[in-house]
Order: sequence, then structure tokens, then C-alpha cells
Amino acid sequence: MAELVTRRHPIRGAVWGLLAGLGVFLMLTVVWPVIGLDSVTAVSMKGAIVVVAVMVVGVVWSMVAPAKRAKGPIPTTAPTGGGEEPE
Amino acid sequence: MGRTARMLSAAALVVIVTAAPAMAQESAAVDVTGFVPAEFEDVNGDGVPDLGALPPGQHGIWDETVGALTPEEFFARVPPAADFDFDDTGSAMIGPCGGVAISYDADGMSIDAVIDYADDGPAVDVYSGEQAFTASNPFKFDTTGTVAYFGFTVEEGSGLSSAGAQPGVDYGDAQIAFHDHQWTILVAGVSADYGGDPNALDKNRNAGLLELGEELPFPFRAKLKAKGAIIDLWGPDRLPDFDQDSIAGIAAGRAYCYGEGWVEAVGDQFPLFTAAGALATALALAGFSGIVFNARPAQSWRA
Repeated sequence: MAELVTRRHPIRGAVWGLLAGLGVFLMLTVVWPVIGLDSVTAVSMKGAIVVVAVMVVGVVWSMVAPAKRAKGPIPTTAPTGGGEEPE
Repeated sequence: MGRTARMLSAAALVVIVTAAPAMAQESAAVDVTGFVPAEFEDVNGDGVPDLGALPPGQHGIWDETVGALTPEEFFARVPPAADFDFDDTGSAMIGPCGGVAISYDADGMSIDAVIDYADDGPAVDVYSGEQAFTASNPFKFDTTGTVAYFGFTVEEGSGLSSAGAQPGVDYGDAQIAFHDHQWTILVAGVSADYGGDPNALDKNRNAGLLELGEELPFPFRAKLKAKGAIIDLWGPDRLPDFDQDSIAGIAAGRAYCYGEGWVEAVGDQFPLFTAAGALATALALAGFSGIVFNARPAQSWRA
């Protein structure tokens, strides 16, 4: 019996968040310099905060965003939950 | 509110935002024109003489006669500014060192200028007369442009030495200046440059042009904290790590100058099209696209 399941991807969200966070951090330092480069320690801390914040956004999005619909034809056997009845 | 009124309001806002800063820089709070040779005129009308196109081989602002001044002549030509706001901390300039620096864009038009009178007060923004090198008022420079600088040391009450003590060096007649000195400049806490010199010729002033467009690999924007120190009679060893609290102890009674403050690279006017901007944009776009489209939950059928 086919079952409609929702798969979530928090690791993907974290990895893409890492990339996006690095981009945002670069933006805030060498494009529109909001973050001042005062010392290696302080900049590392600020960078870590920005990157982790964007990673959290990525993970949260991967958990709560509206799910993409299932691709492909619905199996001939009747699903047990959430899906539409086969035509 | 009618459409016309909204249009007028929008137009007024645009004028205020764009024209006000330009109008605000039409006159400088500190007049440095008396310290700049007459051939360098104020082309962009901001009150500070401009370099314009400076052909290779032509002397810079202070390479020749005007740079060869005593501190007394410097003060006579650049009178101290009126009272300015000391409340904004974040920069310091301590010791018997003073000078003036003007930054220019790639076309030789002045962008920013600072002056220090070799007193214990911080450096002064030539345009506003306020404290310079602060986080809210950093010294701006163009990464494709040039910085012209003139620095000097005062003699009276400076505590500077009259000769060094390095073996084999002829220091000549006793003259008050830095001798056997060692200096270091740190940017963002990382050593950017350092050096030292017996200074057998008793040099007490220096002038030059820093051609950033040729020194830096590509234009960028950044706000950087810089600090530097020079200590008299230190010898050939490099200076240890220092800050405003520790420099006096490190100098241990020797004369020294110490400065710290914020500088801002203004770089390209289209920062997204620089190498750093393109990399940042690519990373951010790829990352957010991945979050939105690839990390989103997905439904599937399980048999």
C-alpha cells in the first residue's frame, strides 16, 4: 500500500545556508562595509554569527516551508494518508 | 495627497539626499590650501586642492619645497581648527608626530583629508572639523586612487633623542629626531608593514604619494581598523604586539608616537561588479537559491 510521505532536508538547508551566509558576510564586509574589520578575533566572531544565523534560516526553511508535491503518477495501490485518490 | 504633491515630495527627497552631501562639502573646516603648492588647484570645489592628472615623474604635493618645512611653518600655514567634538571616541593620535593626509580618487579629485597637530588630541577631519578616524567618520580612500601625506615630528618637549647608539653609524651633529627607531602598522590586527632606521641624517619629516591603484590587486570596499606605533631608540628588533593601553609600558620611557583609527576603502562605485562583489553575489545567490528550491520539503510516495 503506497503512502504519501514528506521528506525534510535540514542538512541541505544548513549547507546552502553556509554558502549564503558566506556570501552575506562578504557583502557586509567588502561590498557594503557594515562590518568593520577591526581584529581577526572580532571579525571571526561577527562572521560566525552571520553565517550561523543564515544557516539557521536555511534549516528552519527546510523544516517548515510548504512541501513540493510528489512527482510521478500515484501508485495504483491506495495511499494511506494525505494524498488524493487515484483517478 | 494628490499626485502632484507626491511627485514634488519625492523630488524634494531626492534633491535633499543627493545634493545635500555635495553642498555640505563645498567648504573645508580646516584650510590646508596654504600648505599646498599653488599649482594644485581646487577643481571639484570642496575646499581641498586636487591632484588632477599627475604625469609620471612629476613631483607630488609635498615632494619639493613646501614639504621641506619646519613644524612652526606648518602650524603657521595650517592654523588649528576651532573647537571640535571629542565625544566620539574610537581614534587616538598620541606623541610628537603630526601631519596631513589627503586622499584622491583615480582622477586626482580630493575625497577626504585629515590633519594632526602633533598634540595629544586626535586627528581632525579637514572637511568637517570633527574628530577623524572614528568608526562613524573614518578616513575614506579610493582603492584605485592616491593618498598624499606629509608627516613631521616636533622637537620641543618631545623627549626624542639627539643621536642613536648603533655601532658603526655616524650620527653627525646632535639633532632632535627619532633615532634607531622601529615602527609597525597593523590593519585589522594583522601586521601590514614594519621597519626601522638609525636615521643618521636626523630626518624629522617625510612626504610621499601612496598610489593605491598600483599597490592593490583589485578595487574593493571595506572598513578597517588600523593602528601603528613608532618608538625612539628601540633598535633593530621588531616591536611586540601593542595597543593604546600597553604602548607606554612597551616604550619604557622612550619617546613614541601611537595612532589608531578607522579607515574606509570606498573603491569602485559599482561594488557588485568588483571581484569581491561578484564572489559575494554568486555565493549569496547560490546559497539562497539552494535554500529556497533544494532544501524545501518534498512529498513522495512510499510503497
